[in-house]
Amino acid sequence: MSGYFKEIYDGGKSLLVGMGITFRYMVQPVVTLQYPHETVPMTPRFRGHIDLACDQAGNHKCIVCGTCQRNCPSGCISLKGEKPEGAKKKLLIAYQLDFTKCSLCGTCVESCPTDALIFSKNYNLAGLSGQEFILDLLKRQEERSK
Amino acid sequence: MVTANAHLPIVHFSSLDKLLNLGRANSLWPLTFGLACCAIEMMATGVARFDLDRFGMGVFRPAPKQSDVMIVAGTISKKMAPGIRTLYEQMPHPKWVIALGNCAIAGGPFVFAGQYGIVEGADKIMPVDIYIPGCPPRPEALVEGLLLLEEKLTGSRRWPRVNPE
Repeated sequence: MSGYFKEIYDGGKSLLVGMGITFRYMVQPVVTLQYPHETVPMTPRFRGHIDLACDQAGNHKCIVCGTCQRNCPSGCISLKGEKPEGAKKKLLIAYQLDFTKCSLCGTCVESCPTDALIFSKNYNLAGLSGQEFILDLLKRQEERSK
Repeated sequence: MVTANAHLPIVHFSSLDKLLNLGRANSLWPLTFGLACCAIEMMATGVARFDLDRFGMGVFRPAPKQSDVMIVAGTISKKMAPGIRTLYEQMPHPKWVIALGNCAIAGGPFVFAGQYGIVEGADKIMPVDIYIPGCPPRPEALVEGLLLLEEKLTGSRRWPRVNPE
């Protein structure tokens, strides 16, 4: 019989302890971020997929040296350049990033001699097919500079 | 690529189906299961900071028979693939699959000529509905993916769209 009352006492005590913890959290500030309604700014060192950086005039700084392509451990960068008639420098005509193979190591950004690559702040990508994430960075850069 | 929904229900109800889909879209119960580091982000999405329960999707079920959506969070090794396929087949219809992270989309950084241990993408072994890229994706991206699945089911989005930058 004594065990019966002891169980009731212990159960009641643990219930009060638990409710005490619940009450303590209830009066503390709210930690939940109401995501689609409110967002947090990404930190300067956040790594999204890479993007071509814009200079003041809105142009990219890529010189088509191919260092990023050679240094990528996953082989997800492919770029193509062309030398127009009479020009001295190569011109970038295509820059494709296969983001589905990227591991965001940042070797491309580090190795770029002209700092033409940056990490984007695109943090909430989702899509209905994997093909959506083979990105044309040149097109993205042109759209941004408009 | 595996064809989606090989055995859909035979009987359809036009308007009732829409109502059912509305209910399904707002109570997508995921299967508790993680394969690699993306599972850590999945857990982070489930707890108080991002709180999947706001969307009715926080009820991580420990049994495939009780769950609606399978979140393939991480690298699928060849050894794990039959187990994942079994779990997928044990889930009752209707069921959906989310490929979370680059490994589940296309094998990620483990893909190279001559690799023998990794299944190159979840869509090689089962139909995938939503793809979420990142290495790993942020919790916001997983929320976005689940909202996209909700949109796919009901045909409209009742949450605001977020444009980063």
